[in-house]
Amino acid sequence: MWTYIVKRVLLMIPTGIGIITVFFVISEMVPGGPLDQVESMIIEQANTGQGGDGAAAGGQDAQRIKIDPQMRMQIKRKLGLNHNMFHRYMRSLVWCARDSLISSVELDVGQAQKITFRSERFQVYRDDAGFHLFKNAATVNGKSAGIRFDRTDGYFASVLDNTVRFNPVTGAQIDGPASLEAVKTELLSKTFREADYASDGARLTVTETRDELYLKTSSWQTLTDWDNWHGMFLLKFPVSITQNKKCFELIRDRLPISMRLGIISFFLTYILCLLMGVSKAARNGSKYDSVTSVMILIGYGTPGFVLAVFLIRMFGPGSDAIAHLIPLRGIQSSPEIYDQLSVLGKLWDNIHHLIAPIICLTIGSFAGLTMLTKNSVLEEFHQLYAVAARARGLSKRRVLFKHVLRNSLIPLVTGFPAAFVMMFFAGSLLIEKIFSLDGIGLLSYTALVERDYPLIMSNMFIFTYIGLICQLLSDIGYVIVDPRITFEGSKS
Amino acid sequence: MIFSPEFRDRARKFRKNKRAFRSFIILCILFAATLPAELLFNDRPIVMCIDGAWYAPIFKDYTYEDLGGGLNVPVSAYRSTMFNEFLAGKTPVVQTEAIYDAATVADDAEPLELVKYEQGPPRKVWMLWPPIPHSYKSSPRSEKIESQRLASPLATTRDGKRIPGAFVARHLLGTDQFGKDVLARLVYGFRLSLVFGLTLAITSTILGSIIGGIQGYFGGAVDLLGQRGTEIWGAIPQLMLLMILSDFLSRQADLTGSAHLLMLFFIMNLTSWMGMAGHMRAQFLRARNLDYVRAAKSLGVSNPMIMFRHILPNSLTPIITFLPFSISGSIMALVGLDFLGFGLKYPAPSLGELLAQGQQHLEAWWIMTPAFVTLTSLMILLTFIGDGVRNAFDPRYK
Repeated sequence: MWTYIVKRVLLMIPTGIGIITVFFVISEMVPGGPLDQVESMIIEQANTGQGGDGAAAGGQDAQRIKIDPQMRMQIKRKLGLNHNMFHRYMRSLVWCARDSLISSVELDVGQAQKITFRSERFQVYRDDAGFHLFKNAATVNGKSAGIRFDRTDGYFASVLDNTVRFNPVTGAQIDGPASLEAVKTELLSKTFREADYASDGARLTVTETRDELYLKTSSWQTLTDWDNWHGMFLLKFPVSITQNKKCFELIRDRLPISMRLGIISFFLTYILCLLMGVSKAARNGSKYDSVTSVMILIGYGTPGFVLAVFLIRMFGPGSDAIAHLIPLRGIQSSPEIYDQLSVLGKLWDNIHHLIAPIICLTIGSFAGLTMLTKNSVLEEFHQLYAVAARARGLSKRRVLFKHVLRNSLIPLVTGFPAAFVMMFFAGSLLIEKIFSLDGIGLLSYTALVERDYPLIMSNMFIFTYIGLICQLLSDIGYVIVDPRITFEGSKS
Repeated sequence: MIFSPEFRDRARKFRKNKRAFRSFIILCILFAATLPAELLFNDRPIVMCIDGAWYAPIFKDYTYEDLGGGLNVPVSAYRSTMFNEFLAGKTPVVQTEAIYDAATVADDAEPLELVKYEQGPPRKVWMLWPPIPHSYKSSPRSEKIESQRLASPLATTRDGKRIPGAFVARHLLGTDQFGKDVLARLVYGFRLSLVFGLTLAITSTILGSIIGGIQGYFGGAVDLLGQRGTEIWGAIPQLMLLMILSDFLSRQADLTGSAHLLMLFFIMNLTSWMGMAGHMRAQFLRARNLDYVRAAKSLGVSNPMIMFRHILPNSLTPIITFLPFSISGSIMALVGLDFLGFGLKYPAPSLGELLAQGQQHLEAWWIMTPAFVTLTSLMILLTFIGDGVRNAFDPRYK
């Protein structure tokens, strides 16, 4: 059993690699790539932000607005595009590498940037000679002074109310009161190629090839620092292009809604199927049996999302609806209304919003399970032990509930987790979209519409793994329910 | 096996299942009725006779020159004023001097007409129109488009004014948001869905049988590799995968019309073979050790021959059993994609797109209700048929 589980877990790895590879290729092949996409998005936002006539003049504005190289570099860094393709690919799987802090492109001559490293603060300043690294503190006439950097004017150090402008490399004063003469900064490096600052083995260094400044630490420190590890296998997800948030956070925030839908419909289906299956088996061949069969088949045939549209049309808040029974959208009423409700009112509000989506989610899922229950109960009835029990004079009802039922539930339990997963995302993308339920399905849909590939990839990855884990659980459930089953040496 | 007594016995069993057999007949009738949709719903005459010459505009696009006079301009609409004037005897003639003069004539001079109509005797015309003079893509004339968008088939009163129903203009189910006929789109869409689903079910069955058959027949490393590959591919949520691929491919190559449909068909094949492959793999895995296969092997029959001639005919049960469900699954995949806007492009008739319009315009019951009824009844019919087929063909299923 354990070898089987280990084997299955190991087999999940190639699955994940496969998914990531597929999406990596797709997102690399998108014309222009994510960078162009983000840029066009920024331009679009700038255009719409201009108000009224923005749409009309949009075409001209789009050409006028240019994204400056610094911003472009920042976007690139955020999307991880500053690495080469191999590193990008590996970073979406598993990779351990320091992230660079600054590149020469980002820092023009005469500019500086703050860096925090091991809760110490540094400044990187660039002049014609190269990069200079110094501590984010200065002394003026022997007193410690705060440093302020201004993009256009350069460095200022201030003591009390006096401010002096200075060159951080030489310490020479450019202007300011003459009384503040000796500005000293703790300069750590003059050129940007060499080892520069060391504390407990960590060094700030600039690589020569990529013009990027990053922290150089001993390999042991690099490996032990969790921040250096990347890749979805470590649940470190990329940043969404459109929403400016980590994909993992986005998914985590929406997971409860999808789970609520999934879990309710899952239990509802199981309970109803069980009741229906057993009662159908007990009255096999009766009118009840055939009528429910037809009903189940009709339910199975009805596509959930088609029914959803119909329900909204017929029972929604629209003016032509037959009855106003269900709300148009959302999982709850708007906060202003919702917060004023009593506890019971809140409960009812939730139920009220969930009725229609759950009907649509579950309608197609009764057929398989009910028939499975019915058939398995009937099969057990014909087993010798059941026949013997009947022959001893036990009532049919007693045999059914005392003897047969427990054994006939085995095939049901095995399907448990798999059905749970199915509920999780089988129809929910469509249903969540139609009812505007802000769950994972809707998140995937908006990500797809907006072509937010990092988000799509993370979504798919998580979905797939939930699926795989639940499949494994269903196999384990098999063994727990029925110890006769082993997976050892089973080949099919 | 197809003509074996066993098969005939099962077919008889299927026919005896009233619900399934009636569904089958109804579906066949519906399909047969929508097959000649071009002859029933079209914006051009089926055949027409002008001055003794016969034309079939449904099958061929004509220019005015083809029809006996005038410019070499295609006839865009057979209800336009231009065409009516042509029938009344007017023949447009290009004034060549107008083209030459254009450069030299002073700005304030009266411009010469580029096209002049010569009035002749009215042409003798006989036309056979389809019963509904709208096709799925015929849009109303631009000056009428405002009044014809979302027109209800029944008379309505809006702001105290009575608006006559679109029923009169032979829009039996009104019009959609672009002024196109809902019934025509429904009928064309029904036919397209069914043909698409049937074709996709067949190709994915073939693909699945080949892949599953090879896996099951050879077993061992081939099987293991195939299983892992299937697992990876199958673990990815299918609808999302289809949406991504469809979106990606339709932007990579600017596809239109039937090329786009073909693209959708291909990407759906990428995912739809998996169910069938699993069943066929199991069948072949079982059969490879049976005596008749061993006998064939020892006689030196080649592997492809054994698979095709010996095992396949004995493994048809899952194929036949799953075909109806495969068809309904394929149709729903297409409808879902269309509904989400990742499927067929607009002028193409699509039930999913109609449904999406129904959701956008909740007030337009004449869009929503027919789309819902059509889709649901199509699916339920297929489910009934599938249930009947399964009952008849699957010995485990009682």
